Formats: sequence, structure tokens, C-alpha cells
Amino acid sequence: MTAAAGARVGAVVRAVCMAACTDAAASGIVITYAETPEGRLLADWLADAGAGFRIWREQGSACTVVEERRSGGALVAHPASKTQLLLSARLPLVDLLPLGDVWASQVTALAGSWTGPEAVRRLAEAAGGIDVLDRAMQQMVEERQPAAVALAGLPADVAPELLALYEAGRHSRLRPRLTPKLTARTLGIDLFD
Amino acid sequence: MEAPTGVDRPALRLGIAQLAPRLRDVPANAAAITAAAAADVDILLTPELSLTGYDVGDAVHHLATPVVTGSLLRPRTGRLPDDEPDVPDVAADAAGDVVIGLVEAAPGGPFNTGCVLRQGRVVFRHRKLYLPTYGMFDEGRWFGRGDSLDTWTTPSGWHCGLLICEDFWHPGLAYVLATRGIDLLLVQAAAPGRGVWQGGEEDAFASADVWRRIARTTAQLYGIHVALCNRSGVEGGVMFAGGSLVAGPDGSILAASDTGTGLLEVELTAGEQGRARQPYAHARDDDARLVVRELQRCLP
Repeated sequence: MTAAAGARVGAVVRAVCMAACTDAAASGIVITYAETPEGRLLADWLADAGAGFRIWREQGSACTVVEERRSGGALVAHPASKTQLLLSARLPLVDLLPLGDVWASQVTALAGSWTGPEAVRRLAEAAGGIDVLDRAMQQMVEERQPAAVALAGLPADVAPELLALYEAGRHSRLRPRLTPKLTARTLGIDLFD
Repeated sequence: MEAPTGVDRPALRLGIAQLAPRLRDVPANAAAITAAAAADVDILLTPELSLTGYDVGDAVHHLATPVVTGSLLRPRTGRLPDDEPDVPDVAADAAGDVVIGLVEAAPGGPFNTGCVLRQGRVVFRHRKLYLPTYGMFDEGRWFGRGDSLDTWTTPSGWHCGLLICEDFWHPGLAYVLATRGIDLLLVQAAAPGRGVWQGGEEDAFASADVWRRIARTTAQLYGIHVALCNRSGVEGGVMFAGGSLVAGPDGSILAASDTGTGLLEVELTAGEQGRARQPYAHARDDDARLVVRELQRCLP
């Protein structure tokens, strides 16, 4: 992972977010969970958006603050990674998932670390690290290999847990949020599982 | 394949307007095309579906516009008839031919059509032949498929062919047009940027490398100029890659754009084609009858 790749990806994320604001006549974007590595990475990518494009950084997703911004015309973004989204039972109820096509291992390469729900963190640890977990998921989701093949390299107890978490979010993924397309299969565009 | 056509043909001033059409906003897109058509060029090429935006979805029926040879366009805007705004004639004052992309209303359609306007009047159209319907693409759901391939000639004698995006990935089409003796192949595209993590050799997207390779190879194989106009901008979560370019008949890149909007202007000469074809005999020796015979053996 190079800084150049991060800059290219950041430019796409920024362009999509700015276009969404233009389409929605929004005053700017509220970044929830701005204190996380993902939130900081997103804030960095949006920092160059230019005049007239406002960013609000909020710790967590304090409902009253976020709703106040939303009612003031802002779009709300959750900086969850693709790993987190694919292994969560429900997608966050926000307008934008700007990092929804960025794997947690890519977040780590660009921001130094990653965050996610406890279940996902435990799964990554059991798999041998987030790189190993993401690689297996990439083979399953993006390269469309059968799960039995894609997950064959994971410890025996990890694959069933991964599939259970993936299956639990299937219903929620039918109604995805706007996600910048960065990989071969993207939530809301061409990832239909 | 025809021998090189007259090298005394005047040079052709080509403009490529790398626009970022707004989805389903026909008045705004028509205005952008007309503004770009003020350029002093013989041909102005705009992207695929430059009048409507790309992902038109079910609005395709409301946006479908009749395309009648010799007539001015009357673009549909998707509004109800009583609420239809009066869209000024598209590119009516342009000095040269203007190639736009639109949704065409016709039996068997609507079609994803490239349309050549001369002083605002239709002189040629090409209906997209290969409609990508896989992954993120859904064109087969919304559009009818064209079924023929034709060419047109500019007032200054340049013989041209037109393909739309996925058409260009089917090399048989470029072969047919080259066999018809075109000097210039124009390609309209709305190609999303792919492979942003890997990056391209000269662009932000790896997919730009593939388009460049196809354009350069096609140009060199047939000794023709190839002009690609890919759109810019964003629709939903998809960013279009831009990267419009002109490849010379020797396979070199004569001009290229980055991902943003803008106008490329290039002067093309028949002499370039003559020089590029001279060291070889590919065009002279090509045997279309052999190809047809062997293709027929491939068909059931």
C-alpha cells in the first residue's frame, strides 16, 4: 500500500461525497465516530474538499447532535470499513458510507490501525490478523470464489463464525447506503449477497 | 480493405469535450454541449449519453428523443408534456459536426445512441450494439440493441465511424469499420474508473490503461486515427474515469486528458495516415473475404 494509492482512493471518496452533497443541496457532511482511525482517515480525505463544503466531526454517533446537523441540511457519514459492514448484522442508518469499499486491512495500512465491533475484532485475531481475514473475504466477495475455497486457509472454527456474521447482515445489505466504488464488488452497486 | 484515401484531404480539427453530464438534467447537459460546440473544430466529440447522464434507469422512456435524419433534435427532458421546458436547439451554431449521446426513441428501443449533428440537424446515428449487462451495468434492462454499423463523411472528406463504449471492446466492429475505409474512429464512453488501488501507468485508474491500449492498438493496426471521449464526474457511488485521448495512426498518443472536465483540441492530417501505413502492407493485404469465410465456419 502506497501513499499514492491512498491519495487516489481519497480523491474518489472525496469526489463521491461532494457530488452527494451537491445532489442533496446539503451544507456539508457530519462524520460520526470521528475519533476512530477510520474517522480520522475520512476527515483527512475530505479536508481538501474546498470552500463551501463543511465537515463536522462528532465523537460516536450522539443522536441529538447528529440529528441537529441533519435537520440543518447536512448529510451524515459513518466511517465503517467494508470488513465491518460485511460482518455486522445491520448497516448504520446514515446517508453515506464513504469507507464502505475500503477493507479494514487497507485502513490499517493507511491510518495505522482499525476499529470494529468486538465480534469482528475477535474474529480477526482468531484468523491470524486482519490481513488474513480480509484476504479470505476478498476471495469470497470480490473474486467470487466458493466460501469453502475462499475460507479454506482460515482456522477451522473461524470460517463458520465468519459465515454466520456475513449471513446475519444479508437482509440489511439489501438496502445499502451510498458507497464510493473502489473495488470489484461494492455495496449498493454490484455486491448483491 | 481500401487503400489510404487521398492525402490531399485537408487537416481535420478535432475537439473532445470531456464533460460531466448531470443525471437526467437534459437542459443543463444540452447547454453544456452547446457551449463546448462553440469551439472552432470540424468535429466535436462528447461522451456516451452526454445529453442525459448515464444511469438513467426507468426514466429512459421519458427521456427518449426521436432522431430524424435532416431534422433538428427536440430533446425530451423527462417532464410531463405540459411541463416540458423549451430546450434550445443543441449545437445549432456549431462550425463542425457535433457528436452527442442520447436516449433515442424508436421501435425496438429506446436505444443508447450516438448522434451526429450538423448545424443542429441530424446527419448520422449509431445505436449501441453491445449493451453491458453484468456487475454494475444494467443497460440490457433499459435499452434495445442496435443491429447495424455504418459510417459518415465530414464536409471536408474525412470518413468516420462511431462506436459506443462496450462496442469498442468487440474488435470485430472496428475491423468492419476499417474495412469500410474509415479515416477516423470516434468512441464515446461512460466508463467508470476501476482499479483505483492499483492505479494506472499514467492515470488514477488501472482501467485507463486498458482503454489506452485498445485505442493505440486499433489505431496502429488499421493506420487510422482513434479518438476516445470518456465522461468525467460522479453518479451515485461511481466516479467516471475521464482519460479521453487521441491515438495517431502510428499508435502514438497525440493528446490525452486527466480525470477532470475539459476540452482537448488536436489537428489530424491525412499525411500522418499515409506515413504510418507506408512501412507496412497490413491494410493493402487484408482479406475480408477470407475472414468472412472462416467466420462462417465458426457459426452454427
